[in-house]
This record gives sequence, C-alpha cells and structure tokens, in this order.
Amino acid sequence: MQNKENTAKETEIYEVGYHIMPSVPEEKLPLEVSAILSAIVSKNGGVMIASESPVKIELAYTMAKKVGATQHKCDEAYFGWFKFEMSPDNINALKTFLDAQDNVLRFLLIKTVRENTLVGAKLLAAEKEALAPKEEVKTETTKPEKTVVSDADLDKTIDELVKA
Amino acid sequence: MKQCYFSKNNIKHIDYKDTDIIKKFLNPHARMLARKKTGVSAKSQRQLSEAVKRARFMGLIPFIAR
Repeated sequence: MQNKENTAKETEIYEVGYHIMPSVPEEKLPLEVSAILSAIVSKNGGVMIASESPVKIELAYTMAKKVGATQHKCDEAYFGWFKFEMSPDNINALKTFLDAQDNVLRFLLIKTVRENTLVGAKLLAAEKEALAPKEEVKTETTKPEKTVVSDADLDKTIDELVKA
Repeated sequence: MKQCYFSKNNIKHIDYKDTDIIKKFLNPHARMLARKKTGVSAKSQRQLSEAVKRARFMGLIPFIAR
C-alpha cells in the first residue's frame, strides 16, 4: 500500500500529441512512431497507458518547420498521440528528444489524467440519436391462428348450440 | 437557466482532441462564445479555454476563420 502511494507521487500522467511531416511516406510511419515510443518507454522509463496511431489530417492553418536552412510549409500532417506515465525528472529528456526530431512537425506535451478523456464521438452520436425523429415502432399483432374446421364438425357444434 | 453542457454530460476533463465538442463553443470566426450565451460553468469555461488554445496550437481548429 505504502509502495503504491510512493509510485503515485513519483510519477505523473502525461500525454504527447504529435504531427509527423507529410513528406514521410506512409510505409515509414511505423518507424517514426516506434522512435517516439522507444524514447518514452525504453529511454525514459515511461509506462504506456493509451495511444492512437497517426492519421493524415488537414491542418486548420499552414504550419512551418525549419530543418537546417530550409523552411517546410505544411497544410496537412499525420496526427497521433501517446498517453503514458512517467517520472517528472525524465520529461525534459523526452522534450529535448522530440525537439530534435526533424520529422516531427509539432508536438504538444501536457499533463493529464489516467481516465479516458476522449468522449466526443460517443457523445455526439448519442445526441444525434436523441435528436433524430423516432421511427414508428411497428407492433406486430399476432393473429390468432385459424383452426381448420370441417363442415361436419361445424354442423355438429351448431346443432349442439341449437339444442342448448 | 441553462445547465452547463459539460456537467450535464458528466465530462470532467475537456480533451483538446475532441474538436467536434469544442467547435460547439466557437462562433463562425472561431472565437470562443461567452459563458452568458452557452451557460457553461466557470470551471468548465476555464478548462474549455485551455482545450481551445491547445487545439489551436496543434492545428485542429483555426485561430481565426473567415
């Protein structure tokens, strides 16, 4: 118990969101991702919590990144993120690693919580459902099964009724 | 009195990657809407402003539009 409390104090939950340059071919993306992953896990002793692999998105505005003497302007990029637990002592090392990456267009390193904070898609889907006009529920009324009655039987029952 | 959107939906932390939710609280110029208009609680409005700034930095939503 005491041990658990100690680790809780020593580590923090962080999240790094990153854009990989669009010039990187799609088949080489896993290489870039694994480089970041190894910087988090093996080099700085982080523990992975959640992640999303990069997908190409259109940026809301043109971003520029200077690599050497050339300035690259990007209108789209591969956006992905990692959520992990790490000691605050190592976070600076991770930041300098990401700063030095030529293929990382931009990144954002933030403190967060362990729980899943992404609720948008689920919530909006539920809202849409609530707003949509409800379909009329067709209740199927079960028709009583028709029993086949022969003429002779019918006559008999009529006779009985008349007698009664 | 309108109830706060975030407390109504039990959202304790506003994620900057949830752009669809954040966009609900922006006007057509991509500026944040006032609490007076949206009914968001003071605490959530502070969280929202942080999320908006992060999303802008990451190019998920624009700084200015139109």
